[in-house]
Amino acid sequence: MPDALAVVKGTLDVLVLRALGWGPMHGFQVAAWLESRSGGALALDDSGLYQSLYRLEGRGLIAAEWGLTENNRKARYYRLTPSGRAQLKRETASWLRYAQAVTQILTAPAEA
Amino acid sequence: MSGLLPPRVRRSVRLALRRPGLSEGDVDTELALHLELRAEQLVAMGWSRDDAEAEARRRFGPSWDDAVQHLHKSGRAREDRIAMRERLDSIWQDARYALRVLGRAPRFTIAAVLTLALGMGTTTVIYSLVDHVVLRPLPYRDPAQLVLVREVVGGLSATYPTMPANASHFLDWQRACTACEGLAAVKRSRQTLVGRGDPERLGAARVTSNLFSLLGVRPQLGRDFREEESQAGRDGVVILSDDFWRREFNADPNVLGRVLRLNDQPVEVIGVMPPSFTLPTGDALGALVGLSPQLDMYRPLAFTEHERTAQGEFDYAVIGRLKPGATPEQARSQVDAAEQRLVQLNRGYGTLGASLVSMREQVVGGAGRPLLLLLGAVGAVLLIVCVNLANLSLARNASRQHESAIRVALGAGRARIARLALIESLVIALGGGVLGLLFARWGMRMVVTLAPDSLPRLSEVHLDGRVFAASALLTMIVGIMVGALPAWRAAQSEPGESLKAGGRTAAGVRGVARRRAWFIGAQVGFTTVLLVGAGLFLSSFVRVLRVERGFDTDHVLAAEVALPYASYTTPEMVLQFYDRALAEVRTLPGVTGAAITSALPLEGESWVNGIGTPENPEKRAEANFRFVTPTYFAVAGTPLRSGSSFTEADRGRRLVVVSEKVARAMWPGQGAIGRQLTIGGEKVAEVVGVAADVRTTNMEGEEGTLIYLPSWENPQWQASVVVRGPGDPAQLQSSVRSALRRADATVPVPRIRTMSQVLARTLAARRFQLLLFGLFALMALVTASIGIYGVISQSLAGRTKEFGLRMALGARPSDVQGLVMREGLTPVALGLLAGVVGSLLAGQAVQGLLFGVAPNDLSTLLGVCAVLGTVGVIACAIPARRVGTLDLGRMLRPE
Repeated sequence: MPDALAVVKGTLDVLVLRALGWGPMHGFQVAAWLESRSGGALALDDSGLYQSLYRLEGRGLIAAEWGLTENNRKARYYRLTPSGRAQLKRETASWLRYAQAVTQILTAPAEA
Repeated sequence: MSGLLPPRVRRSVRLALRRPGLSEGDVDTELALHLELRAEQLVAMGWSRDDAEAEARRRFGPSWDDAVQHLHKSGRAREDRIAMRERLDSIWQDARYALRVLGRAPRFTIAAVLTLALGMGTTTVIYSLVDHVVLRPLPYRDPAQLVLVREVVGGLSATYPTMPANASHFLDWQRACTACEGLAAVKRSRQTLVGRGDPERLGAARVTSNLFSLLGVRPQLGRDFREEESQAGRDGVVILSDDFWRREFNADPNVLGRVLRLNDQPVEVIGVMPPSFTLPTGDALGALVGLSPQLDMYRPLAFTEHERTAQGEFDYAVIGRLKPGATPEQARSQVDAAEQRLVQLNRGYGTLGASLVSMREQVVGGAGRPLLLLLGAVGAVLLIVCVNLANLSLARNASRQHESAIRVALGAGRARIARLALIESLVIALGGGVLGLLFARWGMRMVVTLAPDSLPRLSEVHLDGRVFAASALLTMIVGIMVGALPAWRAAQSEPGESLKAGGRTAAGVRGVARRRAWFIGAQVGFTTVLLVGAGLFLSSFVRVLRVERGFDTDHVLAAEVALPYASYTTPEMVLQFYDRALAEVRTLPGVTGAAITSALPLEGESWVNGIGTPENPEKRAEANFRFVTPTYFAVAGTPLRSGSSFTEADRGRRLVVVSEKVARAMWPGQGAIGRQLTIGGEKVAEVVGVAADVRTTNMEGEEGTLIYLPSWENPQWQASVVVRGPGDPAQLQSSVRSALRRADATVPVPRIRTMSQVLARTLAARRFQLLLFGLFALMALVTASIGIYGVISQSLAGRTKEFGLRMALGARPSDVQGLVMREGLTPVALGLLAGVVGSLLAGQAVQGLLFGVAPNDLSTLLGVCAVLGTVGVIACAIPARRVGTLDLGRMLRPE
């Protein structure tokens, strides 16, 4: 992964929430989902991913329970709680606003 | 919490909460799966097995071990946060459940919240008084370093152990006291303001220019006094109080530089003090200081020639600030050394000494005990309320024991059941606390209005954050006190025992009976102490009222007048005003007499001088002088025991009327009329009358040693016009005021009061104490009697079957009633006994506050026992009577 972008601090949480918005996943599934979605453009630290999962669970935005993978291996599945879903909506909206504003400034034609 | 509890305990807590936990092993399991899946993914992409496994770990960062450790830590942090959230959630759940349960029993809830609110509201008010008056430091910089310096003057120290300072002595001390950072002086002053509507007489203090900086207070507007402004001729400046500035100038910041006419001098406003600034008023800075109760302004103290040289005048409250590290004793001995030098220089002085107390001690000193006593009383009331509520909750829970037992049987933890009960009482306490604060806001205003002006720092009292915090703490304590026992009992519920039909065991019943006895006994005990206190205060008050006053309070009005020095320059002019004023007042309808006196009874001691007899030089005394017009005795209603007053015709003769006390002291057992009296060691006057004794400061002290001289001997610029009429003197107020205005409209009349108002002021402190203490005792009595009634009724409710059996076995209804009465009255009697013993022990605390009655006064104790005994009998008899009227058949029928 040459020149992968470091994930801006704080955005990892919202990305994890987004991933879990599709349905319950275990940790590796979340990592794989994010990697495939970003097309490898984001440098994801797996340690940071689990930190994020534990942090979100501590705040009650996601909940976890033990389950089995398709190959019958014991895995911890995470899912969004209602407050996590609300948080995802809020964070997405504010991130889009932020990105739009930054983009607008950076791409404005130079003044003559 | 992770640090506080060993993992095993944490784990068991977690298990109790039935949540799948995550130990370090669980984190490891999760990570192992991740590594496996990642490796599989990489192998599928063509990596070798070994490389794939290494890469999977590498993606956790440079050091795999660090990453794992880090994740273990965040795993634990997550656990703690989740556990905390769940606890809060379940407490919130319990609180909502408690609200629902309480909502279903509105009568209980309303009664509980209201009684608690009353108890806690009154406690908050009294605590706030105690806090502001006693506990808080004085509102100055480093108040612990502030001291008051006073003089011990030989010859006067029998009457006044210490006196305010003399001006020249003060100036000496400023040089002598090197242990002090500085010494400042304060003197009472009256300032008459003209040119802004009616002439107004304002309360003021003259202060040395260093006072404010010494106290560490700066004007909020404008500047402090400058040193040169303490020189005569340059003192035409004034600093206003915040209150006066708002009242008189609508808080106009442009007031600086305005020139006011004060005491007929142009005076420039240079500053306004902050609202928080006050000086202790009245005699709070020591006896004879007499600052006016409301200070409107501060003038610089520029000593006049007279003030600097007068040797016999002791008027100045002296405040000192000790240097850091200096002891009060060092300062005292330095001032004392200065005093001794003065004595050596002036042979005529007699002895002098210095006395030094901390400012706080002087200001707050006497007020502490009565207030703390009130706090104790209100605390006892609250305790009774809590005991009652605890009992009520217990009874309620007893009827819900079944419910609890089912919960326990279904697997709810005992701790959870106990917590539910505790939370219920906390919810009630919270309701009581919030409502109590509302009561307190209202009660506070009432108490401040009722409080005697002798209570220091009253202007500082209000509800604030500190009081609020105290009241929140109180809420918690009350909640726990009320809830602890029910919670403990609820946790004890044995599903097996309680689910059995009936569910009562002999042991349980006995325990309940013992608990009820304790409840009754404790309430009666506390109530006894409160009632004894109230009884003692009541009989003290009655005794003070019965003290021979020596003046008439029903038909006499007194108007103070303050003649402006600028327009009344000679004593003759003052006497002319007296004549004009009396002539005007005497023509008023409804007025039968009018006279002038330099000082009213009960309004303090002024003009103290030595008296003696020419025949016996050994016999000397300090007396209080009053200058009165001839008809004063008849108008004020002070009877002449022998002789008569002087008359207008006596002008030019040296005549004097003495009080009985003087006659007794000087000529015991002999007639005083016609005797010679020396005044101040030189003048000699002839006694023409002996007047009834009158008290000079309050009704509780000794009679004043009074000498009445004709007003023409020494006309006073500040005096009172005393008016008598057959009707209600208050009705005369406005006509007297306009009569005085006709005599001279430029003379301020600061106050017109009836003599009963003058008397009421001196009784205010005692009335305040009695009123509040009586109120608390009454609250205790009502709560306790309802409590006893409730406890007895409850104890009977579950025992109908027992009584039925007893009666079926041959007991008569009266036997059963007797049994009930015995069960109720035994703890009442024991509580009374304990209460009486308690009051005797607490007697020391009230000793100094009583008048004419001892703390172990037998009739008070007996009276209280009679009242409480009667209440106890009634509270037991009502439920007992019901037992007697029950139908035997119904009693034995199965439930």
